[in-house]
Amino acid sequence: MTAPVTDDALARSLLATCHGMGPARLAWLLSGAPAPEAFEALCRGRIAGEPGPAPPGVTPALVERWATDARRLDPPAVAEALARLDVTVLTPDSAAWPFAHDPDPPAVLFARGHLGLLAPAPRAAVVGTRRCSAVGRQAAYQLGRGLAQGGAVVVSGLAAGIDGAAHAGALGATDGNSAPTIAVVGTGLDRVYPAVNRRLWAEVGERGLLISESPLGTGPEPWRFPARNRLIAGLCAVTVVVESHVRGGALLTANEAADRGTAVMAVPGAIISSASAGSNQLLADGCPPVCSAADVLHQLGLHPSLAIAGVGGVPPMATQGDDLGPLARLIVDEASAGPIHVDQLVALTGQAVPELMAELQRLRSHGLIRLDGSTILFG
Amino acid sequence: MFATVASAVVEGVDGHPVSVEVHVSQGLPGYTMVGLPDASCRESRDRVRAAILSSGLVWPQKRVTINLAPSGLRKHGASLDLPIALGILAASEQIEAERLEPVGAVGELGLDGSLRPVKGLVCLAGAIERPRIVVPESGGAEAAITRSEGVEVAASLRQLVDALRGDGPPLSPVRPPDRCEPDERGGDLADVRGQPLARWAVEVAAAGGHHLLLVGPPGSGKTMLATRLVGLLPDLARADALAATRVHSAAGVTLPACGLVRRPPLRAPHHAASLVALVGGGTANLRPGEISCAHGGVLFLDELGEFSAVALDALRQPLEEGVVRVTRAARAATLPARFLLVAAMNPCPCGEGGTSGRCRCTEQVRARYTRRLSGPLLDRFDIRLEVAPPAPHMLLDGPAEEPSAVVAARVHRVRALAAERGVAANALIPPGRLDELAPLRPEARAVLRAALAAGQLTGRGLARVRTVARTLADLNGVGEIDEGSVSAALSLRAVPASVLGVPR
Repeated sequence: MTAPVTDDALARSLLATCHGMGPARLAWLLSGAPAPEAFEALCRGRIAGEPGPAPPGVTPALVERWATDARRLDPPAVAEALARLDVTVLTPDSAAWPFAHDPDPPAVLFARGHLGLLAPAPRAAVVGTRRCSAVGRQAAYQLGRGLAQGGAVVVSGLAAGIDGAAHAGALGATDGNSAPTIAVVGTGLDRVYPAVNRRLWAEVGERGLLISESPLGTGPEPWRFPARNRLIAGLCAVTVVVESHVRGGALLTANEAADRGTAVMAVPGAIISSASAGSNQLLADGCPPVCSAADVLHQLGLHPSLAIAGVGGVPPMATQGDDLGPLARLIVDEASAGPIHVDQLVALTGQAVPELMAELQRLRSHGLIRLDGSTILFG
Repeated sequence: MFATVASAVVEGVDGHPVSVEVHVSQGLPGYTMVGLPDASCRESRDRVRAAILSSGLVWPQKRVTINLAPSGLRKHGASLDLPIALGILAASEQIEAERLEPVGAVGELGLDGSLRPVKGLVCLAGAIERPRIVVPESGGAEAAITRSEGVEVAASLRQLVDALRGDGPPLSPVRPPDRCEPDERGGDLADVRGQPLARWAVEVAAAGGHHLLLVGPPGSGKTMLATRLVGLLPDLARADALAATRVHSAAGVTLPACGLVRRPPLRAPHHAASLVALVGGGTANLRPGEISCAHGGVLFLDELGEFSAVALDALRQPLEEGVVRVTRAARAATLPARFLLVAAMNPCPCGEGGTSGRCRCTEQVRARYTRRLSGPLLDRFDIRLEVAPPAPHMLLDGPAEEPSAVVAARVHRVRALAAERGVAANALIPPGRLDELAPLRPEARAVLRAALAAGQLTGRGLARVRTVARTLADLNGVGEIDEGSVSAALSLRAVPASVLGVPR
């Protein structure tokens, strides 16, 4: 036996590593004794203190399993791994703890990145399905971008589809006073999931904040994702569902938000798109619609400036473009209304293709448009 | 008795002289062939025997030994049937050996004694070191491409033997046709309506020889554009035409009526094509692949995302060097492979990605679809074009567009300018000569500097953009490259996000 663990945060991380240790079970263990004592007791196969009636599923066999897991753990190695990966362990005693008033708080949080983002601030969850449409992805991206530029912290789950696009949009915000983004993930912070978001994961960890309830080494276990959704809802004053199928994790997040009494909003989608069936149902149930980032910013009590382009875009010409020629002005105007192909611009402007292509590069270098192949995107 | 007949075999696109030596001696009747014949070459024994008998000639009931010299070179195919038959007839004293002395021969024999065409006559004809050669009747024009004199054709073994013995009329020499009918140029660019960007991009690609990537949903006209592009290219220069003809002949591709491949070829291998079918090779003999067959013309890879990653990455070296070096354990061949690569792909497997919101592909599926397209290969495409389906009213009521002939005239002018610079096309300007051949005005330089600083360009990308800008400036009749040309070249290079497997 090594030296006893005295650090509360480390003991909590060790306990969380035991098999099937969800937030309810961990809370039950800790209701009997402080974390270091609970861990020491578990190593000896006992439950410390008098924790009250056990939550469902906690059998003597499971406690035995926990004891085995606890004995196998090497506390200094775990502490070293946390330090090496630059992961901070947060507990309800931590200054940055954001779940003080949450009805269903986690017992421990693992975080990497800018902890300052957990301080009270206007935060909006932008969530949705992994199987999203291209339009939904774009809406999530533009919402993420618009919210970040409007000074709101975008919170999402870093899943494939809508979640990832929302984070990417927030990170893509170019404005000076833009706020970075928080990703609440279901796996351990050393286990990137899904793999398609590897780059995004690294960037959020660098410029924003990655948090997880799961200890290092935890892979994608299905039960952890719904649990993760309650944290997303708990962090935010507004939850926006961009696209959701009839049954979807995003609707769980919306329910969690409703339980906490925070606002739920939804992006209207086409009635023939199954990816919007769930989000449209939310609208039918009375949730306010989101037609631009400004709608969400208003809900958060922020006052979007004219420069912010949300879904549907606020014409940007009020703030910039006095130095643009008529052709450039026309291009930016058209692009701000939605993605437009060069062929369409040719038809609209009657301009020759070579001149138009040269003008596009000029606008691109000014950061007014982006090119996705031959499609012009605003901003 | 002993006789020798000159012939040749093809390896890659090169003909190698082969001397067929036949020895007929007393002894138990038998037949031995040495000198590394492959299976089809070894089977010549039965064809030759039947053909000799069918022609009313005599098969010697003696010991027949055949040596195909040089003995270290592997011989394949049936093209040595005819020289073997002639050798046996001479060695058994049915033809006078001295009459065979100045004659080389190549051809496959039918059991009835008829002569059948063989692959690679263009390469073979030049390799036979005799003043006269005899080839099958249908191959005369092909053989005459590399040999303007001394090519004779025969329809059957009997006709040839009679001519050699003086019993029949002498064989008539073949001359290359003086005039060729104009070749088919494929569809006209005037058919492409309502897609001004695509029309222009195809013109730029043809003018400068820039590799072109087309991304668009099914039915947006990608294949149509690729076939129109070939029609814009000028006729092949003599050297390229000869090289292309040799490759086509060796690969067994049907040659045009006049023999010489003068129009740039279009090759469009299916995406299930194997690595060997694409780049060339093979175990029995080294055969040119599709990329060599596209030499001087266009290699069109439709459904780029469905090609195997190995096959695609094998294109990188030929794209860089203009030749492909195929090496097998015992043999190696360098085959010409300078082509304009046109690749087309859907934005995602369901084809709807990007444009319409109807796409149902998950990100994993998208990522898998585009993963095969490696960064280095993507970097080779100077023009990345997103093809949008034309507006319906443009198809029916749109204004008439410029026909291919008008666009081709501009393309030819730019190609002529490139030729004055000593390159076949602007895309082939070596990076070291860019400052000399594609000088930049200060404001154009500033645009490139800004693009580099913004991370829009890599080092290789910079050189490629300068060649495209050279082409654009040439199209505008500008000497020193202006800002507009560089800016437009940069816009042409913008990668569609769907190709990278990332959301917009």
